Amino acid sequence: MLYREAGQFKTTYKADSQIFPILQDRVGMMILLSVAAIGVPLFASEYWINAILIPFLIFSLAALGLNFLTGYAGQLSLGSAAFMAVGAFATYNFQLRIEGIPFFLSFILGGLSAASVGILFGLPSLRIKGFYLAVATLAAQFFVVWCLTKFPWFSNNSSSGVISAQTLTIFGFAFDTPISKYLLVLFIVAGLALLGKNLVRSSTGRAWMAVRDMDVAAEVIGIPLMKTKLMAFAISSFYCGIAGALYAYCYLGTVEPDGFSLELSFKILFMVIIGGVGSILGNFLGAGFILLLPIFLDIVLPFISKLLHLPLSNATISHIQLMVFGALIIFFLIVEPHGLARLWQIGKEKLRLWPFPH
Amino acid sequence: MDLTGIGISKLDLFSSGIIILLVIILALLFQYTKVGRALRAVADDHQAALSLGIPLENIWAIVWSIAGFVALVAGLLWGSRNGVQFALSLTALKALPVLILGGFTSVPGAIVGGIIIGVSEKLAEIYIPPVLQDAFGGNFGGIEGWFPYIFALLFLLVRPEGLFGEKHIDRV
Repeated sequence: MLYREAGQFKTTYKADSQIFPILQDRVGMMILLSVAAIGVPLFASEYWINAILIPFLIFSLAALGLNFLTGYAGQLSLGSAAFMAVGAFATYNFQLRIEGIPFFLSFILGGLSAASVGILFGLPSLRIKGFYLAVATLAAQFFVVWCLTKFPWFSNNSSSGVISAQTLTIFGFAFDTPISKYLLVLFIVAGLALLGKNLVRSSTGRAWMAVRDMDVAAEVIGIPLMKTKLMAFAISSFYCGIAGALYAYCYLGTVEPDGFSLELSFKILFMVIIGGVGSILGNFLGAGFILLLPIFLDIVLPFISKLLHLPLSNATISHIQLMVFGALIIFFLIVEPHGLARLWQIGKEKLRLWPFPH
Repeated sequence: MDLTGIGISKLDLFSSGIIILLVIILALLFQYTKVGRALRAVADDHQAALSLGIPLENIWAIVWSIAGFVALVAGLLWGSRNGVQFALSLTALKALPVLILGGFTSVPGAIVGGIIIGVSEKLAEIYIPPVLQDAFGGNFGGIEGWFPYIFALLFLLVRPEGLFGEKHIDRV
C-alpha cells in the first residue's frame, strides 16, 4: 500500500500477533465495516441489498467454509451445496418442532447438524484422497438432496419438498425488512470471518496446512491425521450449514432441496478458485466476482450488440454469458492460479514500493 | 433380434462390438506402443518423464485427443440409444465412480467398473424403493441418481485402489 509499517514498533507479543499489524490497515478495516454496517443501509437501494449484497455475504460465508476444507486442509469437496441444504433444513425443523427455541440457537444447531453430516461424509477422506474424495463428496451432494426430497418429514410433509422460512425473530425483534436482514447477515458473516481468520492462524489451521502440503509428513511430525481431517470437514460444513440457513431465511425465504444442486456446489467452488485458494479475503473477492459478473454482462452485452448491429435475443445473451464465464475462469486459472487474493497482494506490494521499481 | 426369449436390440450388440474393439485397441496402444509407454511414464511422474526426453506437450495433445475421441464414441452410442440432452453432462459425471471402481490406470477396469455400476444402479432402482416404501411410505424413486457414488464410496473404503488399479505407496 501507499503506507508502510515504518515507525510502528511492537513492544508486546500481543501487539505483534494482531490480525492487522499496521495501524492504517486497522483503520481501513474499521471504515469498511462501518460503511457496510451504517453507510449501506442508509444509501443502498432495496434491490441492491436484496439481490446483491445479501447473497454476496452468504456466498462469501459458504465459500469460506469450502476454503477451509479445500484451500487449507487440501480436501477437494464438491458437496458444499448439500451441507448448505442440511443447514437450511435442519434450522427449519428445529424452529418448527421445538417450541420457542431462540433463532440463534437453531442456527447453531443447524450448523452443527451440517457439521455432523460433514463428518460422516468426511470419514472416507481418511482412506482416500484427491480425485477419489471428490467422488465421495459427490455422493454427499446427490444423497442429501435425494433424502431431503423423498422423506417428507424434512419439509414438514410439503408435497414438493419446498419449505417456507418462518419470520426471523430475535429478542422480540422481527427481521422482516431487507435492511434488518442485511444487518443480521453482515453481523454473522463478519463474526464468522473473524473467527475463521483466527482459526487458520491457530494450531488447527496450521495442522490443516501441514496436512494439505503433505499428509504423510504431517503424520510423521505428530499431527493426528484423523482428528485434523474430520475437524476440517466439521468446521467447513458448519460454515456451509450456517450459510445455507441464512440462504433460506434471509435471502430466498422459500427453498427446495433441488435448489441446492450440484451447480450451486460448483458455483461455490469457482468462487474459491477465482477468489484464491487458501485465503480468507479471497472468498469475498471470489463471491463478488461470480455474483457481479453476470449482472455486469447483462448490462454490457445488449449494449455491445446494439453497437455492432447484431440482433441478439435474450437466450443468446444468456448463452454468451455462460461462455464468457467459462472462458474467464480458464483465463484466470492460467494467468493467476492463486486467484484474485494474490492479485490484491501483488498490487499491495507494488504500491508499497511505488514509485520505485524495486 | 430375439434369441432364446431374451430381446436384444441390434444397436446394443453393435455398440458392444464397437466398445470391445475400442477397448482392445486402447489396451494394446497403452501396453505395447512407444506412445503408450510414454503416456504411462508421464502419468507416473511428470518430471522424471520430461528428463528422459519425453516431449510433454505432444503427450498432452495425444492424451486429450484420445480422451476426446473415446468420449465422442461414448456420446454417439449414448445418443443413438437414449437421445442427447443438456443433462448428458451430469450423466457423464457417473464416469467418475466407474473409474474409481475399476481403478485408474486400467482400461479393462473401466469396462468392468462400467458394467458393475450400470447394472447395480438399475437393480437398486428396481429393488430398493419398494423396500423403503414398505418401511416409510411415500415414493422413493430416483435412487439411481446417487447410488453409483455411494456404491463407489463404500467400495473405496474396502479397496482404495479400485478393482484393477495399482497399489499406491506413499513415500515421504
